[in-house]
Amino acid sequence: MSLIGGLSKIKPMQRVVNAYRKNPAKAIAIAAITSVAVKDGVGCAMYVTQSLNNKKIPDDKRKFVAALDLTNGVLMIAAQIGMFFGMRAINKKLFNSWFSSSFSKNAKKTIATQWRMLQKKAGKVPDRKHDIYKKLNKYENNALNIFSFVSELAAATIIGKRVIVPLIATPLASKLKAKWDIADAKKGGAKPTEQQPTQEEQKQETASTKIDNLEETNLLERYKKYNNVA
Amino acid sequence: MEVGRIQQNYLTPQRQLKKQTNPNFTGGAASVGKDLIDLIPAKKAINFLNKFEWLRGELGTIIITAFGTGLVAPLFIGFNPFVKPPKDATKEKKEEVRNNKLYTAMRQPISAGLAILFQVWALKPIDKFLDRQFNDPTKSKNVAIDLDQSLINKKSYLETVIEEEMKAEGTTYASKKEFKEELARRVSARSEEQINSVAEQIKATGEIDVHGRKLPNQHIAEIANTNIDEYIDDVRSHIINPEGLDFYKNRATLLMENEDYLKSVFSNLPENNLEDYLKAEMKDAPENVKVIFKEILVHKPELMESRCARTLERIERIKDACGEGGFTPEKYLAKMQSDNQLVEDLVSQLEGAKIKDVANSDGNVIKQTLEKLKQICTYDEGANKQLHGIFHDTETMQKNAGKISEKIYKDMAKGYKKFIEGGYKGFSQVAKVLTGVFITLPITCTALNWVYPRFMELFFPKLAGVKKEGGNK
Repeated sequence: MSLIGGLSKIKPMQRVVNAYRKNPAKAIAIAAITSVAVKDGVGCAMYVTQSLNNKKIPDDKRKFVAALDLTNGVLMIAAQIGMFFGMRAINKKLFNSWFSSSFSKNAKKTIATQWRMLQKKAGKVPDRKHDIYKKLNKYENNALNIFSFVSELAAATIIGKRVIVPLIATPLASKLKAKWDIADAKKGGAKPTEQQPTQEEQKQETASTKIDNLEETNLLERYKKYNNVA
Repeated sequence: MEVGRIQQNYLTPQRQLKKQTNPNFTGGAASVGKDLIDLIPAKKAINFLNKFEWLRGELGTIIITAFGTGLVAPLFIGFNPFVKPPKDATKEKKEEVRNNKLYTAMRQPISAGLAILFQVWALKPIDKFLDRQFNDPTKSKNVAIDLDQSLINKKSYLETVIEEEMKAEGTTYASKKEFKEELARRVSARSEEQINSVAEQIKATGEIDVHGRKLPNQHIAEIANTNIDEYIDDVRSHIINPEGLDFYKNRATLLMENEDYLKSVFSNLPENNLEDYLKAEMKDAPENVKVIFKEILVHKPELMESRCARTLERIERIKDACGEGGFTPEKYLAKMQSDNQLVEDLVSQLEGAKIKDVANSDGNVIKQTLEKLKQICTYDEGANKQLHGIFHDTETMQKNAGKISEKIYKDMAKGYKKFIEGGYKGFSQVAKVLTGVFITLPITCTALNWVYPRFMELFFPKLAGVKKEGGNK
């Protein structure tokens, strides 16, 4: 049996296939956001593993860098899924409000009447209104499906991933760093104070500030840039 | 007995509006009819939207994501207000932070470019490879039978195969356009042939044999039931709801009470300035008749004439529907209710024809079901004038048994095509995502790590210098 043949017969694939048959528009959209989330998830996992296993990063920084990579990845996936379903909840309403002049009940009724009159005028047997509505619904659904797909994906991958995440990731990373600094200091036996940071804190602060100064997806890269680790 | 026909003019699309749960993959202007689309007010915007149909699927996912990465991300990284130098920073430090941001921002368009290059580039070979695996009978025997497209091929596969055949024929075509037109014609004809062949198979055996493998009858039974549901929807659309009954009765009363007046106004219409004529007539019309004028005047001037003629036609049909003894509101209402009952009976018969035990149905059950469907959907024009009055000119109910039989089996073959194609789209997208995650994504990442620093050093040496300086600290 070929790889493709085997893949086509396994149960999870059959479930996907059935979902596509039942509601293709929904299945396409879910597959798209899954694709985006899985790719980011894999990317994130690669960065985290890279960070954790990179011997060139000092031990005390390794977890920090990996954790920030992980936070960034999780944030990205969460923001995208959130924006995707948020958009999914409103896109039909948006579409209907923008195109009500064409697809409201009354608009369709008028179009159908005009179409039948034109057919009669041309000496043809006019279509049944039911058949005209079917055609109009098909046209509307197609446009709605395209609009939904593009808007959901744009909301997720453009607004969620590229606008929201960068804006919240930096302050979040700073807070996380501060928390870890305190935890590290406690481990070392010294209680940090805001007025008089320890030498270790100062060092970490300097490194982290530099890291924060660069909006890099892979924090390992950021770290390397400013600590001459590469 | 033309009441059904008259009623069609007032039917609201309530039922159809509810039916939006199972949209088609394609439904652009070509499949609906350009002339009809021309009547849609927002047709330009919708047609523009429809141009992005190709984005649906993995290709769109990659392109839209790349758009965000390449064009939006750099702005939010390069001008991120949260990334700023310390308050007491020197001029050099400020400059360094600015350059850092720009240096990092530039990584995004490069990343997007590479994603499009590697990931989009990979999609076409994947499509071609999968086309062959699922459409070529020698290969498709290995895939799940409910995804095997070797009986009714995918359009893109047919195009490839027929293009090869045409090239092998050695015929010279005057232009590329002519070649493409011939290709499209042959693809369409071959597809039709394949659909007819499957329809014949179902008609003969009630089963589908896919090059030696039998499609489980359960799937064929499901397709039959789905088709019957669509027929039920078509038939049910002829039922008039209670509000409609009331409306038509009142409208018929209004038309009949003002028959002479309406005939006098609408029989001798002027050749020019019809709109002005109707407006002038409306001023002197009885108060309750003004609504008819208003309904005509909302239409475009070129359609007003046929609308007036239609009003007179309705009067004749109402009289015809009431038969001997003439019109009374009660008689007309009773006629509409009687029509409704007839349609309800048909719906019950169609519901009853559906296959109950789908999981255990065999070829005979499917054959019998489709034959029964044929009987229900055929009527004798002479013996059942009332049915003819309601359903004439429709496709679901016909007086010609041969035509309805052809439609039923062809619909079954089309249902089968939709069934395998729908499933295949799922498989194809998953295959593309898996390829993306495990093959093209790592390639893209590796390529980015190699290209990015070199690109920056080559085209933005000033910005790239920041990195070097940082590295020399």
